[in-house]
Order: sequence, then C-alpha cells, then structure tokens
Amino acid sequence: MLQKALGGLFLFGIVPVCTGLLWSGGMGVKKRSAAHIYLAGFLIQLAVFQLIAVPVMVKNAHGMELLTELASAVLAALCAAGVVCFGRKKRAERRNGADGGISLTGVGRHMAEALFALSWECRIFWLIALAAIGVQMYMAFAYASFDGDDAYYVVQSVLADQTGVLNRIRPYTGLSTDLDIRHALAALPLWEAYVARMTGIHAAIVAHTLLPLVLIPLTYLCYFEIGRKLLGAANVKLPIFMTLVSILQIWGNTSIYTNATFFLMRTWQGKSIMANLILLVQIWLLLEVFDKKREGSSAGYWLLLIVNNVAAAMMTSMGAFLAAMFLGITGLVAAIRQKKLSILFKTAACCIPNVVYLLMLLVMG
Amino acid sequence: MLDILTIFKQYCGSGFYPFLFLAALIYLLATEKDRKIRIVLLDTSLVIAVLFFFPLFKKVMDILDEGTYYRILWLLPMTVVIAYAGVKLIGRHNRIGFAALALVLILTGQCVYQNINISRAQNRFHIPNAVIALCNEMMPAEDEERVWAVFPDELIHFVRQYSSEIQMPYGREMLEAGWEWNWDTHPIYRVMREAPIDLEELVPLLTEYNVQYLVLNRSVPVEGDLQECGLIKLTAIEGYELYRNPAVEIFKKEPD
Repeated sequence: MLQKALGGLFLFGIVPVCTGLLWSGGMGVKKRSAAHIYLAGFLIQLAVFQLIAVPVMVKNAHGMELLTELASAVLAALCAAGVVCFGRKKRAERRNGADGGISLTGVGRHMAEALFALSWECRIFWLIALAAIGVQMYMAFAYASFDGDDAYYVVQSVLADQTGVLNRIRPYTGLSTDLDIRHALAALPLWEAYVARMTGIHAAIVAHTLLPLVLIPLTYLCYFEIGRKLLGAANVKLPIFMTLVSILQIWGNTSIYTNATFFLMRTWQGKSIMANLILLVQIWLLLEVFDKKREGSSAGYWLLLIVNNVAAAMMTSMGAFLAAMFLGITGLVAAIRQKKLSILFKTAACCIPNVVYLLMLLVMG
Repeated sequence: MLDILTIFKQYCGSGFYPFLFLAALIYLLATEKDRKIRIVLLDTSLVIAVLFFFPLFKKVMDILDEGTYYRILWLLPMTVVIAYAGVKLIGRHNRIGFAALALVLILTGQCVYQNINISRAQNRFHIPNAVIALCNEMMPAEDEERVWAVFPDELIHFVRQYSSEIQMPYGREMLEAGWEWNWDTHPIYRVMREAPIDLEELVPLLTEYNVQYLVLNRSVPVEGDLQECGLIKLTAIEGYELYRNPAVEIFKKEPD
C-alpha cells in the first residue's frame, strides 16, 4: 500500500509539478498557472522517458531494471533542478519586489477568489461540467471495455514488468522474438510497465483502471486551457464549452475510428493519447504562441511543442508524423497569414525530433 | 477518390458530428475575427480537410502506413470547433441555448456506454474473473518453468494480460480474419474452432506442442471421451473446465 501511494505520488504528483517548475522558467511571470505547470511537467516526464527507453531497449533485451533505475534517477534530478530553479526565481522576484509566481497558498487563494467572483449561473454550469467529467472517470473505473489491441500493448507492459524483458517476447504466445522496432519505438507500454514497477500495481490494472483516472482529467485540463484561450477564464461560456465537449466525447462513439471512441474505450493506449491529449496540447500551445495579447515570451511554449513532439513519438509509430503534420500545416498557415518567415523556421526546429524519429523508423524498421 | 469517401463514411459511422463540424467550420470562417483562432482552428482545419480528400496525399500516406488513413481525420479539432461554434451561436441565451445544443449533440451522436464492448468490470484488472481463476489454477510454482495452455477463443485476448507465466501455442493472431498471413494457420486452433471439438485429433496435438493444460467451454460439444484420451479434469470455473494433459510434464527451472 505504501509503495502504491509513494509511487503514485512520485509519478503523478512530484514529477509533473517539479519538472513543470523547471519549464515555467521560460515563460512570462504572469502566465505561470498551476495547470500549465502540471501539463508541462507531465509531458516532460513522458518525453524524458521516451528518450531513455529507446536506447535502453535497443541495447539491452533484459533492460527493465536498468530502465527503471535510469528513468527514476533522471526524473528525480529534473525534479530537484525544478525546485532549485523555482526557489532562485522566487528569491529574485522578492528582491525585485515582484510576486507573480506560484505558491500553494497563492493557488488556493486565487481559486477561492475566482469561485466567489462567479455568478450563480456560472457555478451551476461548472457543477454540470465537473459532473460530466466525473461520470466519465467513474465509468472508466467501474466498466471494462474490450479491445483486441490490448492483447498486444497491455501484454507488452505486463511482460516488461513481470519478466524484465523489453519487447523481445511475442505478446500473443510467449515465444521469443526479435525486436519489432516499428512497434517498440513507441515506448508507451514500457512507461506503463515503469508505472507498474514504481507503484507495485499490476500493469493491467495500471492500464485499465489507474491511467484513465489520470488521463481523462488531464485531457479535460487541456480542453480547459483551450477554452480559456477561446472564451476567457471568467466567462460563463467556459463551463458550457466544457460540458459540450463532454457530450461530444460521450456521444462520439459513432464509429470505431473517432477520437472520442479511442478516448473513452481505449484511454490507456498510445493511439488514444495521441488522438486526444497530444493533439490537444498542440492546439493549446499554438493558441498561446500565436496570441498577440500574450504577456511574456513565447519561447516556453515553443519549447513545450518540442517536448510534445517527442511525447507524440512515444504514443504510436505514426505519432511523430501526425504531430509534425499538424504543426507544419499550422506553421505554414501562420507564416503566410502573419507574413513572418521566422515562424516557419521555429516550426521546422520544433519538428527536428519528429524527423529524427521518422528516420530511425525508416532505417531500423 | 472512392476509397477516401469510403474511409470518410466509415469514420462518420452512425453519427453526424463530421457534418456538424463542417457547419461549425463554415460558421466560424464567416464570423470569427480573432486571428489566432482563425489560424489554429479554422485555416489549419480547412487545409487538413482538403488534403484528406486529395488522392495523391492518400497514396503517399499509404506508402508510410497502409490502413490507417482515417487517422488524418484525428487532426481535425472537431470537438473544439463544434463546442466553440455552439457557445458562440447561442449568444446570451445560455440556458435555453445550452439545452438545445446538448439535445442536438445527443440526438446526432451515439453514446459510448451503450457500446456492446463495454460491460461492468468484474475486477480492477478489467479481465473476466474466470480467466484470473483459471490462470491461478495453472500458475507454475516458483521453481517451475512457464506452462503452456490452450483456451477457448473468447478468453484468448485476456490470458496474457494477467500473467506472463501462462503461454499459448497461438493467440489473437488466429482470431483476426483480416490478418490473412496468420489467420487459421495453427493446427490446434483448426481443431478448437470446430464444434464439436474432436478430442482424438486434439490431444495428440497438445502433446506435440508441449501443452500442459486445456480449457474447454462447457457449452461447446466435444467428440470423444476426455478421460479415455488421457486428460485429467482439475476443476470447473464458471462455464469452463480445466484439464491437465499429463503426457507433458511441468519442467523445473534450472538452477542459476
């Protein structure tokens, strides 16, 4: 029980928050919100894991032990760097008399103030929006959805956790096999095995029960950030937007191919995270980048786009391509609309991880 | 082009959300003034939609990854665009507007929780209890090697999600008719998929493939006598019976 609590706290609490603090240094002071920091930290965790997992997996067939130790050490170091960076920044801000930073009491006070400032109508709409998200989380926890692909992806996690072997066992049978690089380069099943190792929870429970409870609210956090950019934070339309999004997700099961079907029926699979979380993060970040009214530098958001692209490669073999395609098209449109060639250069720089990954796929796959 | 239309129709399935998205996109293209929204949500969507229906683009995509062309439609931010257009459309009429929009979305969609593949979870693994109980029955001891078992079709997907200690001579690859390179090729599966299951044919194959355990669905008839064929019944769990094939021993692990 203690391992579950401590492992869960480390992976879904300390790491996202502290590595998020490391990233927040690249942003304007007034734009540091707890949601931004958590989202950034979570993506950094995924991207860092992908960068460690691929070489370990290629070099060491029995590398789960090494992968767990390396990933934990690097994530812990990043957390420490985040805390130090944040502490230094706070001290500098105090010396300069500015205080736009984040603190637990500050977040609590800000939320309470925002809640009191809302109209009753707005509060009721927020209750409906939160209830709709709560229903999706409860259904993901209490109901099982059958998907044939679990016999591959979830079993890869179970194998890595239980045997320590990285992608060299055929999931369907248990016979030994060569490294299937095309599937293996998308290291999400290994991250799920890592979560299982760190928490002591069976990998199938991690995938089917634990991760939906993390990924569903995280995806809605993205929708919230997008909604804020579209409608403004204090607008009564924001909870209406959030509720409509929930309805579109719950009633979006019109075929087996839609983002919504993947979101609520295969939440734990890389394809689902790609079709939902990763692409939504891109939309949110691009709305931030191209916002003329944004205070502070856009550098942090461009950096996070790179991180998001690495995380995209972790989700599915086509993840890097899809993310680069969306980013490339948006960058091209923005460069033409704003008549700024520099946007194209920045977009191209963000896509470097995708190009490297796709080259690896072509050469090794 | 016909191919692309078929993929689009399959993506739409029984709902109208892609058409609502199209309507929302046209509405926002006509009314939206904010440049960042136009760039990220509208112009980009328009380019992606045009690309999707462009046959040459599909040819290139098929070279990269055949069979996943529908994923280009994931890049269209349908949910965000429909919801945003909705809240803009209702103007100040928040309550009645929200109710009307919600009704339209519910009536034009399909509830995921009515999907036949969703059922109340029997445990936190989200794996049938019968699979867990059967696997626990045949789980090798610490000093024993992994065991081999044959399961009925409906349990095959779940077994190795529970334990890597249970191995199977064939798995999901036998069940997917679309995977022509694998489907229906394993000799044991050829016997297991028949009703009745011919034990005279099955048991020698189990021995040949070193399978120690056999799970049979009680509702599927068998031809021949289980005991005469040498199988020993260990237990019955829910609608399944677990048999031991004593012709194949359970091997001990070699000391390190």
